[in-house]
Amino acid sequence: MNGRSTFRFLALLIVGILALSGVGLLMMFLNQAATATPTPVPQPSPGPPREQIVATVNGRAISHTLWVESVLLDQVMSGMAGQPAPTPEETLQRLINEALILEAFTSVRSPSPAEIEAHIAAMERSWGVEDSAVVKALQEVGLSRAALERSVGRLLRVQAAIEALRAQGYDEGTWLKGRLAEARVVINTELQQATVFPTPTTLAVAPTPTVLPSPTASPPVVSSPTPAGLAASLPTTAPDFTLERVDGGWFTLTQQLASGPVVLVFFQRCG
Amino acid sequence: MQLQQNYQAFLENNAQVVALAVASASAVGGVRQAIGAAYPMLADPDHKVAEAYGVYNLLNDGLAAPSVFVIDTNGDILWSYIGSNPGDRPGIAQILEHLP
Repeated sequence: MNGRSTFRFLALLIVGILALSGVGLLMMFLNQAATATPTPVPQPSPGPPREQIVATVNGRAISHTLWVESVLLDQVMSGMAGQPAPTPEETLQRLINEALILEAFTSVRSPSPAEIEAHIAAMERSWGVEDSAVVKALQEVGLSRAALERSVGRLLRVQAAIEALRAQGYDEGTWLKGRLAEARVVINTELQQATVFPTPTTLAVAPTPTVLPSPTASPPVVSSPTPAGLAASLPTTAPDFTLERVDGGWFTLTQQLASGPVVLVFFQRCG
Repeated sequence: MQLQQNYQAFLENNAQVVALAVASASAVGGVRQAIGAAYPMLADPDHKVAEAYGVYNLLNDGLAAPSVFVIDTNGDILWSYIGSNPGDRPGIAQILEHLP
């Protein structure tokens, strides 16, 4: 990435974060342009067709599912706001930008459901639409309202991270530029190019069912110190489960989460 | 990772450690006794949970890859580490710094 494009995308990121403080400007963030150039990586030998990772940022995966969901969400929200939707590539770059910030500020708290709802309600007021209309538009592209809630929650965490950065006395532009220079970003360009989205204009005028190719249509192009992990289809939301404790009783994840965060550790071997 | 030796640090951060393995309850119970684990240990013999988290059979061994997921109270996975070999695990400090 050259210096000019780097500076541009950093500036746009900051503009997007600032926009979050005024909910009516949220779409500016979602519509921001980005010009990062994917880093070509060597083609590994084709493995089992099970990957759904579209990019990694310092070894951390951005799942194909998250990217697809974000692109469709951007299209719906842009349509609501009457603004041009970002391209899928720009949306991916936004996810990369967010990952860089959140990676450095993992201590920022997650917004409460009430805070997320307040922001969604404010957006809907600025768009002049009812919540039911948003839900319908989301459903027409195969998304649930939960996808919108997750996205807003993530953006609010990014906003909190930026505020934490400022509280430490950093200039965010300089800080982010330095982070980017050191970041190891790998984009699965083959999977990216194999994914077809509906055009935003079609979506805004006459919503059509979304037809996406199977994420397993092409072999992965990934590079990481943990290749096995990156070959996985990693969830972004923890699947709930109930299992019997070996010391007696039962463990249900959602019940435990009511008391605080959970560190889930998979042992490879027992015995 | 020495989870047991550092279990208190997780509790002080209001986080609960939970370990599970693709193994029988008796096998997991044996490990629990051997390491003196005070945190919950679960058996996932039919590997349904490992599959749901995308870590089953990544090393082509019919087991869960050694992995860690930090999950916040909203159910969002804040951070994960997937080992690329049986000995590839994150350090305790690395996990702690990713707690919300």
